[in-house]
Amino acid sequence: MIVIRRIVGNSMLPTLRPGSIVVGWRASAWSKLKVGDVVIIEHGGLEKIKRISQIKDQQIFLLGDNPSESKDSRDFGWLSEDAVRAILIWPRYT
Amino acid sequence: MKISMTSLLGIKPVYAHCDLPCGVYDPAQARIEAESVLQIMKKYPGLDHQEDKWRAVFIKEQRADLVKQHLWVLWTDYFKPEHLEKHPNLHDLFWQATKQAGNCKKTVDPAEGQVLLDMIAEIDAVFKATKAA
Repeated sequence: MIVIRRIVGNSMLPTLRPGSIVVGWRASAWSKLKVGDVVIIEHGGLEKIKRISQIKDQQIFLLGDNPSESKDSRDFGWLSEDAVRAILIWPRYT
Repeated sequence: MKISMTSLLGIKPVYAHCDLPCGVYDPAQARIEAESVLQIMKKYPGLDHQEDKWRAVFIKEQRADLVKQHLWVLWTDYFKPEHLEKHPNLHDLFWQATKQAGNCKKTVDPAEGQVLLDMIAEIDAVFKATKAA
């Protein structure tokens, strides 16, 4: 199932600009996450978008592409893979 | 009324969650409040009226609280784990400085106010080092 969202905030600059539209696949139990994926997670009652930096024991460590302005796993720690709501498929990024 | 295409289409936001939108952090905010604390301590013995003394103590406590507030924002929002790796005494600096701000609420001894300013200067040196990196 497709998920469409609009970016709010600067933490994923320069990859994703505020106001841009992103498209993802809704995550399921069969989703295979990998390091480098940009994912939409649910955290603190909000949907947030970050990049997976590390995966260990079904836990993920997330970073923003703009680390000087990002609140991410450096602040809130490792999250369960279950927090992932969608995996970005567009725009394509490297 | 301005209506965007994305709101018309019902596209929900996703948060590229960041620090304060302005991204402005500076130990100068804490230093200025600490300078107020010190100056009040110095002026306190020369105040003639009890009302002025009460007011001085009240304002000194407010300023010391602001020092704590500004230091906490720096400590928790600006500094990141990579800064701690390069400056392992960072947590202790903030802990001691915020405790000293508390100590300054209990006294009118200018020496205590100067200790607070010196601690903020140490934090400022670390802050500038992270900016230069």
